[in-house]
Amino acid sequence: MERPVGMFSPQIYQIRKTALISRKAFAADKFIASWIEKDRLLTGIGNALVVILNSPGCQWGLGSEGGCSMCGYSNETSEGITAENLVAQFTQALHANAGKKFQSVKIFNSGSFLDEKEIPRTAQEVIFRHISEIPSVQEIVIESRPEFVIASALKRLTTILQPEQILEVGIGLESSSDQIRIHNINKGFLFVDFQKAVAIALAQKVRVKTYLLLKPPFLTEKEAITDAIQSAIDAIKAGSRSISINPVNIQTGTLVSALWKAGLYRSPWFWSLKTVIQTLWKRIAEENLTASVDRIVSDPSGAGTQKGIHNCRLCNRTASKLVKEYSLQQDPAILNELHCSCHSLWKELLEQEEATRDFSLHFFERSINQN
Amino acid sequence: MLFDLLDISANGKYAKVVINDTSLVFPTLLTLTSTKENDINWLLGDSGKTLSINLPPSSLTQEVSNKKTTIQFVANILMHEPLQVSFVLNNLQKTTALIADRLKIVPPENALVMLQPNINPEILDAVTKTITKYKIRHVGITNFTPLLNTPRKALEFILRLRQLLPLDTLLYLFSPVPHTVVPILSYCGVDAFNSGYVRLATKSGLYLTAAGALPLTQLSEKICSCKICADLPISDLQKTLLENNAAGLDEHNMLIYQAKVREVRYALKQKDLRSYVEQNLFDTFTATALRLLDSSWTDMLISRTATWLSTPIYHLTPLSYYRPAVQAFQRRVRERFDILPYKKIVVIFPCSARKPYSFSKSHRKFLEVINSLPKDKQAYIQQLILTSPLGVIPRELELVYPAAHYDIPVTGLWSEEEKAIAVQQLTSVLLKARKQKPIVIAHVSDEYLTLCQEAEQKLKTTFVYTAAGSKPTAFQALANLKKTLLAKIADSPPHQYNKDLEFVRALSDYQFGLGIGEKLFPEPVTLKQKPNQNIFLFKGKNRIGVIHHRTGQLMLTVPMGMALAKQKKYYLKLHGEELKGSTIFAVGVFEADPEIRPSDGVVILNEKDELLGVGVASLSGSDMVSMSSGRAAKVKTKVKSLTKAHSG
Repeated sequence: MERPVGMFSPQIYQIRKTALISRKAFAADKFIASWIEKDRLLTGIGNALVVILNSPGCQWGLGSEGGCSMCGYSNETSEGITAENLVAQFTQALHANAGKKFQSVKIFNSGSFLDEKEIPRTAQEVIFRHISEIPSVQEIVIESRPEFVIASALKRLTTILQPEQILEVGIGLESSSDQIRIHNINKGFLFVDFQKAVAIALAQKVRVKTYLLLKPPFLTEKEAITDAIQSAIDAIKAGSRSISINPVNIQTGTLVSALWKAGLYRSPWFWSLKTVIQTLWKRIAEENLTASVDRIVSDPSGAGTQKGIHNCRLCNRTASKLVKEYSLQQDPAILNELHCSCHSLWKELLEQEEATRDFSLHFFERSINQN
Repeated sequence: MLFDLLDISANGKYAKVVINDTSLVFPTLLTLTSTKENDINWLLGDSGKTLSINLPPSSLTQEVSNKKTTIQFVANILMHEPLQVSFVLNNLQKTTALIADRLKIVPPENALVMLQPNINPEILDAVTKTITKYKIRHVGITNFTPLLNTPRKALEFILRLRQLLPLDTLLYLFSPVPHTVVPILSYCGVDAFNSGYVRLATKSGLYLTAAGALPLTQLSEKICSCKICADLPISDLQKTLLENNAAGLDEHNMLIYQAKVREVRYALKQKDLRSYVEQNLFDTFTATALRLLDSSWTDMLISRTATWLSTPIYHLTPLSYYRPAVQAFQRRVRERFDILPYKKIVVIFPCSARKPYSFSKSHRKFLEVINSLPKDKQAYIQQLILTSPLGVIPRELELVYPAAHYDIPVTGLWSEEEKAIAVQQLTSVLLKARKQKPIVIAHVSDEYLTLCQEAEQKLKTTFVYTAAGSKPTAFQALANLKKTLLAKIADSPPHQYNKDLEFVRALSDYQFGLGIGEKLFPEPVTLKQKPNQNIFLFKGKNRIGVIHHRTGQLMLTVPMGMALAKQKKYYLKLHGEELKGSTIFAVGVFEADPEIRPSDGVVILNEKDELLGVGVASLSGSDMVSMSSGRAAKVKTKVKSLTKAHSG
């Protein structure tokens, strides 16, 4: 597959190269993190085991094109990780959470689980065998770029699982607009590549969860809202029944972080996420897509902090809670419980940013926080 | 587009601009009306007449609506930090091609490009070249707000733009900024301000005052009596202002913002925005920027600051010591004033509150002493007046702006800074006479005396002190001065002396350069002055010139102009054979003396160096050449017959 390269690719590559010099060293046999979280499963609310593996990392991100403008997960990867290391990491994570009940396993490896350069075939298979032996687990979620979503790779894994266990592949589409995905994000694939991957997965009875980015750099907040809604509709139409909306959080060693430091990027507002979720459900109903959707979730990293999605200091906590609650309940009306005086400032900033193309207007948020 | 630059004060311009038959005055406001595609998006102007502007294109896709507005965005040049220089330059090429394409539909005088802050010289050079090449007259700035935290960068960016773009390019600040920084940014060269700050303040519950913003809910009494605030008690006011989408508060805030812009316009009309900026030291941005301007951008500021004004200048803060008018005066005294070879005595006097000094009680007493000396010996004496912050003022230049126009809090306390300035200026003036080694008599006491002692040490000479331990105006001190002077000149032979000629020559030197006085006035002249009237120059019974008593400026006449033209000083050159009308437009000026500053007298020459007339500059010499519209000078007198006036 040919990978389209975005206009900021050389700079992203430079930034990544510099960041990788000071990459923290992780022990090869130690997983990065693991925990149990409440999650919206296909069958309702349940528990999910999350495991973050220490892997060689995303090959697109570590390659000469520099990877994505907002992604700093390459800082949590290591060189020379073997299949044995990965299996050891996973079994340790299972050990660490022994005795706890979970119905879902989510494996994140800061890249593509299906890329054999990142997770060798044997490691993929052994990990899946372990999961297949946990009777309570009904869902398995892995992540992959679309180019690795191929029939044979999926078939290998689904055959290991129990018939009632469902595999879902998360694909970071980010945006359905090729312009935005290629240039603003430097994602390196086209919407058609995504569509193909979804078709392949569905043919293998593998579900697709689409990750969408809320507020890629160089978009105004208003454009970002519009884009996220449209992208979700497009992803659903392509056959993805799960949508995860990921508001950008500032990660070190990225172009987004450099812009943020210069005062030219603000992670999105909770108000924007609320607008996206509520408008999206409305659009879904209008376009008769309700039957094509399982869940629309958002689990923002760094929620309520300056580096993550945030409103003002008065309502950040409530907003984080409400978003979590919404994700579990799948009831967009929950978000109506968010009230704060910063709403009118957000609306004003939205308009002014649109009319000035000024990405630094958050400069003026401090004044409201002082009141 | 018609661009009429009416007044200038540093980079601040008071200008009338006519686009598509609508006339606006600058500086002015930009107001956002709607972000909907089909509506009018931006209005430019704040007093009745307005022009429409569309929405800026996205910086990546450069998509722009085709809606017809008077001023239209043609591009958004992606150039802000931290983008790589190579990327920006590369991308600029593509954007330039796009601009060229869009200018096939949009006339350049209606075209607007958006820029973002970046101080990389290579980038600024390339970007401004594109703007100049395509004759684009409207330049927007966005993503500026972070620079409110870094005044050095903010200045560097705006002043470089002002240096690289012709002065008749209009700078629109699309980033909202607080009203308190409007005066300083205007002084730096911004022509239009986005009133968006008003709405942001309103939405944040802030109540604007001339000096800043206060949280409305914390007010316990009324501050303003505008039409919104007038009739309500404070509690009602707070309620009313925050109700109905805070429309009332917004209106009040808008009035405050508008007032700021209008006051800037007024100050510009007075040609003294500087004083207004100093009165607006309400935030650290302004204070820092002003300091940096004075220290790092002196030449640029001076070249665009009027040499001759009649308005008083108040030195209220240490920032006033470095005003362009002050630095320019000090510079001209150092470079263009000379202590004549036959001056054997230099007398230093303290300054007086009343200006010009000769009108003060103390100086009348000092002058009485000088005038009581034998007439044929007075020629030996050079008088200098020691003061802050101008430093040293030769008696001949006491009428000159700002020497006769400044006011300073008189406390008798000198700061170290003021002392250093005065000592430095005094030593450099005295060094001019190092060949003739004059006797220096310091008729001063207190702090002035300390200053003289410092200068004495620096110069490794000794001064004679005639007023030590008493007031310089005390009877004993004056007697002492007279006695000392008489003793020092007793042995000198009589020396013929034309005081008026010395005065006019020193003034001419100050105006046009060292040695020019002799060329302009080879023969004796006499001065005639009635109180509070202009001073007239006579040669015999013929009136040959005039000195404005309010500014101290010697006005050029055609004969003086001819002499000046021969020296290639303060000239501007035009295409064409004769002067039509009373205005010289910048578009016609192809060469000008870079020494020219606004309000300076100038000689107007044609391509063959023939004198066409004399006038008064409206712009600096370099701006006259680079600008393609607007007034460059006003003609005062035209030469009637060219052949007579040949200067070559």
